[in-house]
Amino acid sequence: MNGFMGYDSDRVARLRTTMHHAEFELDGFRSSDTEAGTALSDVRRVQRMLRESWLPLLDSLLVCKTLTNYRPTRLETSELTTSRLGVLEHTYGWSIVTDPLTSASNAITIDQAQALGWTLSHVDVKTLISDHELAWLAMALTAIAKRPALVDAFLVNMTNDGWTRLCNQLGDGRIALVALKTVDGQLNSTELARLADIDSIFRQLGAVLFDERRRHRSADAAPVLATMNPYAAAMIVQTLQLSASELAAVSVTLIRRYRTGGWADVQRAGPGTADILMQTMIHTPGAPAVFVSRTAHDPALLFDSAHSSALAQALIALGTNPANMTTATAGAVIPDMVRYIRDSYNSNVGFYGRQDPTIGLFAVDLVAPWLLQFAPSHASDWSLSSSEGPRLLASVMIEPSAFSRLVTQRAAIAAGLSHRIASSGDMARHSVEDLAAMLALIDTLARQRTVDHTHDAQQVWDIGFSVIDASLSLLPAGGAAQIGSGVALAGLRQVLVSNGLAPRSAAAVAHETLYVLDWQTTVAAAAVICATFDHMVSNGRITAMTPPPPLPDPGVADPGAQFSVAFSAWLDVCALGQAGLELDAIKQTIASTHEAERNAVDLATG
Amino acid sequence: MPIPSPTVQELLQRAHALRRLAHDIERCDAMLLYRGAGIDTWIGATPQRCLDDLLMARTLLIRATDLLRRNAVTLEQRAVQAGIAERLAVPTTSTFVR
Repeated sequence: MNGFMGYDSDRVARLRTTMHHAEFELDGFRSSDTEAGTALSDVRRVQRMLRESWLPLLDSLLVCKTLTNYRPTRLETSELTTSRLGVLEHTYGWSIVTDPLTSASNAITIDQAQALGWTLSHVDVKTLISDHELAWLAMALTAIAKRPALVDAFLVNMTNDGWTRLCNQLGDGRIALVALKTVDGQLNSTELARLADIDSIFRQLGAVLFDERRRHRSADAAPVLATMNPYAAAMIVQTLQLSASELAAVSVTLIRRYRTGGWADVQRAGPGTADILMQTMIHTPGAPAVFVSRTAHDPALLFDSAHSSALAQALIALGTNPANMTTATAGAVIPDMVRYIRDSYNSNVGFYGRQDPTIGLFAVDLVAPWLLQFAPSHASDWSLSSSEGPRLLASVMIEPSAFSRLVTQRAAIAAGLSHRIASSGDMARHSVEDLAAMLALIDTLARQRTVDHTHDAQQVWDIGFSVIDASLSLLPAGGAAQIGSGVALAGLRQVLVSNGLAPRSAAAVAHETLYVLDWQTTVAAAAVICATFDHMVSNGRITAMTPPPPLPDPGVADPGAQFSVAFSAWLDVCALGQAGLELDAIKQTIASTHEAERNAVDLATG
Repeated sequence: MPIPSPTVQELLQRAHALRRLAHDIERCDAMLLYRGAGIDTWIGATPQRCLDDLLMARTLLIRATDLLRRNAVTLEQRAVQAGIAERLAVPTTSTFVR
């Protein structure tokens, strides 16, 4: 027990009396019978042990005779490692002497856990967190967190003030070490050990609270967290295993306190309060979406609280992903965020006195999965006016590389479109309509930036064909349909392979603007028509002898018009009845540039 | 001069003495010393060593009582054998006559 021995004088006196009597009693056990010899030798062994080892020690303790290695002493109440004896000395009047023996066991007992909680709650922690105490505390709390009985014993004496003092002290120590690491580039072995011990203690304190919450469902960690520094509370929250909604609620509270309470000024280095909480939320399924929803009215809390803007952006991207957020909820979140980004980009000032240089491009990542909702045809989804969506979208396509960024997000755009189609019920109808709307919106964005390079034109095509692919895969014709697959699609595939998905030369994009959308929508219409035609043939609605639909011709100046004429002629020749009407409806919905043209005019006229 | 064999009575008396000694040891204070040497009385490495010693003392004393009782049984078995031998060597009237 760390070099000290404590005892209750009265009880030790009773032990000594009983032991004297026992020794005398053993001395009286005698026998001349040889058959008792072995047994009596055990008796004598016990007698000698009492007489020679323990009675002299007890006698000396009680007559205050100083033994060489058992010197009377007084313990500091603030010494953590001897907290158990310290509490017994100061609360129950036990005597303390030095103990030359060292305990082979570090096992924590119930009363030791109680004493530790009492000590942490009644002493000035600032004076007691030495390196060896930190290591011991980490060991003790690890043992306590593993046994519910020890957790209860520890918490019975642990007050809110105790929690606050201890965690604040640990948090301040951690901030100092992290700052030192930032300045010096590294920590020495002692500092690293101290940092590891602090982190371990935070983990175990969180585990203790989690265990209590798990077993006593009414136990609430909020009062404990409410009084400590936001940073210390965030360290605890990491291991509380809160539910998504609990974690989001606690995070909002702590980050708000962090921003308004002056703590931000002392936490510049390393992960701060918001970083710790956001990292925890990223690893808690559902938490990012709840957090983003709760802070929609205060986007600064989202964008401008963490030291790492990449971390905040990862959280926001995760929370606003269509897989994690409904369209209605996104409507209450995304437009406000876009406006915040637009305004902060223009004001050029952030919470930490600098603008986040990545926010412009992040805006593209933010809107990519929800591109469809910015289209005029979907303005009602988010209660936007018909021109507001494209205008809002254009307002954050600020960075020169924004369009390139949008291209890199084409998978997210396509996924967003797929999610929308899949959740809309009438897949066949909506997929066609949504595909048309998406292509028109992409064209609108492209038209806003002059597409005067082959590379730019190629980018527009990449996005467009990604969404065409996504739509085709959701058509009734087949879950995995892709451009170029299927029977009728084979002809289209040959056209695309031989001519490329996009113009290859500057000359080919000379008629840019409408040509790009015209070709793209024509290809999209042909792809959907071919896929649907294949489906109708396979289920017998159209005879297999029917000639396949016409294909778009990339060699003409107006591929849309040419395809429209050829398609109408094909319908007349084939006389497909109801099936023909359905195919015509698909073609009319997709291969129309009217909407895109209208959007372009709106943007151009402001 | 040959050593005379113990009589049945002598063997039974010795066995009785061993059983009595085992009984006394079993009820001595040393058996229960450990109860007063726990963490309610004192705490530390030395007290832990003391508690370990007192528990070992209890084990030794229990072993002693077991040994005494085993030896008593042996003596009693010898007494039975001696009794049989005596009866075979010197038949008495009561042996054959009801």
